[in-house]
Amino acid sequence: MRNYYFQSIEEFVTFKGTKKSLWLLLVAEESSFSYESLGDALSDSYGAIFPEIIYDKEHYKIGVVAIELEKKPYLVKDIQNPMLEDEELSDIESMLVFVDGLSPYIDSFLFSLFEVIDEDTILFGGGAGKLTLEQERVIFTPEGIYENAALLIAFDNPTRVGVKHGWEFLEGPLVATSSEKNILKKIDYEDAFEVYKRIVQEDSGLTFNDNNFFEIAKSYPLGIVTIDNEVIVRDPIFVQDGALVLVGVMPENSIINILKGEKSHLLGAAKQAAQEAYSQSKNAELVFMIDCISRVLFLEEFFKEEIESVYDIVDETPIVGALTLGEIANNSKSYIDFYNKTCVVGVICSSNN
Amino acid sequence: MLFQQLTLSYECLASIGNSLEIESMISEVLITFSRKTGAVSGSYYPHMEEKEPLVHIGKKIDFNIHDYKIQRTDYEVFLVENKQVVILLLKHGYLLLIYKNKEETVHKLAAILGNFQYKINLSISACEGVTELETLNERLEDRVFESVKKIRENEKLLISQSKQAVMGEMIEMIAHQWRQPITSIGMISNNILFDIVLDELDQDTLKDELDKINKQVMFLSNTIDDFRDFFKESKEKQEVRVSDIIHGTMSIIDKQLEKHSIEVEILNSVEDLSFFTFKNELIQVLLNILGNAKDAFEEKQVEQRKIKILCEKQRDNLLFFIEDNAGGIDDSIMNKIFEPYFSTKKKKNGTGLGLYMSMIIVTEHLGGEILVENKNDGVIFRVSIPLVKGVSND
Repeated sequence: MRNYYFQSIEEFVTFKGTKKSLWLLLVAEESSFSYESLGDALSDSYGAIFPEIIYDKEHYKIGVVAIELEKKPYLVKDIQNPMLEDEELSDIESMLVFVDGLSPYIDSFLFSLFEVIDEDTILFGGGAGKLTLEQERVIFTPEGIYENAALLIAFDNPTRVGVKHGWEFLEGPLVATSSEKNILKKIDYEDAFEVYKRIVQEDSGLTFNDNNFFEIAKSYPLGIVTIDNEVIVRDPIFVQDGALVLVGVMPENSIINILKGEKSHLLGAAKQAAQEAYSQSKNAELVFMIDCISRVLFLEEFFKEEIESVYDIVDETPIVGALTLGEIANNSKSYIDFYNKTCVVGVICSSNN
Repeated sequence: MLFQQLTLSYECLASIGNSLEIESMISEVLITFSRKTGAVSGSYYPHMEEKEPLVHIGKKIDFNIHDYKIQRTDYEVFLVENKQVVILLLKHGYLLLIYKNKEETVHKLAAILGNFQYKINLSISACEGVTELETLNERLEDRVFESVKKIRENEKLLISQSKQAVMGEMIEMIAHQWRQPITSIGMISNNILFDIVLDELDQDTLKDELDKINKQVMFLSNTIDDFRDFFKESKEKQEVRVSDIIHGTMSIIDKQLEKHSIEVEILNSVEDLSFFTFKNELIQVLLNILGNAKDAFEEKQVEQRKIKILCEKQRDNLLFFIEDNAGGIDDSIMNKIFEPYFSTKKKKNGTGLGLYMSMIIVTEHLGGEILVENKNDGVIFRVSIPLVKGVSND
């Protein structure tokens, strides 16, 4: 599975020349990328825009990762009404999913997707979008560039997935007594932000003001408790009328904890995710690392260590990936979960093992 | 583990009964149960015999409950190949949850879900009750709609019958109106013939006689105009004077009243008062009342027959009082005389629609009221019509 990093989209266009091939492009947000002006140059390319991209041991704010594909990706133009066709989505070994990370319909879309894919299909991916946190057209195909869309990339190769976050319990249990989609209105019958603020300010010694919400909140995500003793992380991104706006849905009456991060634990979690995926793999061909952009914001200069730790585990198998707004994985056991602040490692193996 | 179980119990319990629409209620329960317990498929079958689920979420996995023996009354767990099937038995049907890779925990999950059997049954009953009420309500609405439709059709029929009845009476009235002029014309023409036979007809006499015939013909023509005007449909209110109403009424019925030796006294203190109304409909009301008085005089063979019509303005209303001395109305039927098909007339014309239509015209079309009471040796009708505001009625 050939893969490359280019400093610009123009460099990629020159590289591919007139060769007939299908390409998956992971475009970094700060790249100079104007879909409309590229015209026919992207006539065989599918992809999405992310805050940052990963290639080998590095993460980039500018540039393009290009992966040569064997199968044409499947575009879901409107994830609110996905109209998924069973025939096209069945008999697939594994699937990489990129979805508009700021769409309010991600959860219902993943639910619909789960209904049509085969029981054993391994699925992983993440949310595309920009760090401005304003919803834009970020999913593209040769036909156009879309918002509220998803791109499904099928592989015939066996794939193993590992998912870990490393965030730890700070306070809980609390009950999400009122919520709607990705807006958490009340915690324990009080305005969600008031409860969150009280706990976070006490622990951090910092004070929220009009401009620093995300700066503090990036270190204190929420966690939805599951029966398997796992925690699905939810990232609060801003406050709206006393409610917390999250990346991903918060079902009403969910039992939640407020979490806190330790750099060493987060780095350890990425390593564990890589171990979980790689230990079950044979003839690893390519590693997809889908990591949350807020982990980068939290780990800052230490984030490079997170990629290096994964790189060490996968025995120098090439790594490609993106820093996303939300992460996706199902491990084929049950529903497809949409995570935040999590590291998802997908190891794609050679199809003839 | 206890904390996770409590969490699961709380979240699942909170998802039950949040809607009174059964599909929506069960759908929320199944989604929550499936997502919280990791089921890959969830279905609700309202009856044990049902082959297709009413609600389904997740993977479509074939499972036939009739292939398995149900022994418990709350829940059952079956292990089918690599899947674990939990059946939560309900009042009539069941919830079906299918898991993968949950061999170790499925019995515990089933036991937790089993605790919700009673609450889910209650919620389903509540949904069914609401559906039943809604169905009843819809049926009731349909029945009310049908009844209203029938009433409207009956009203149309009544109006049509009433018009036919009025037509019959009108023909009789026209006959009375025409009898005298036709007799006069006959006499004049006989006189002319007689003079011709005697050879005594001179030009001046012939001219005089023909003038007389012309006058009678004019009278006949005016009578026809009056009747024709009366039958014209009043589509919009028109400005009329009170004297127009009285004249329009009397020009139609006066000969008939005269024939039955009924003296009519008119006291109109507001002759020149003009107002907006449906002229012919108001005339129809007065004709009905006067016609009924005439029939009552005949029925009771009253000697000195007298009708008094009084017109006056009281505040913003125009009032017509029509009083007769025809013996009055029996108290026992006084409250029925405005009902449709009610009639006391023993001989003819007793359609029972005249006063009913009068009441409909006055109350619904003219916005007024019609009252009746016995007074002295007869009856007095009081018809009150509001004078339209913003239009000069003086």
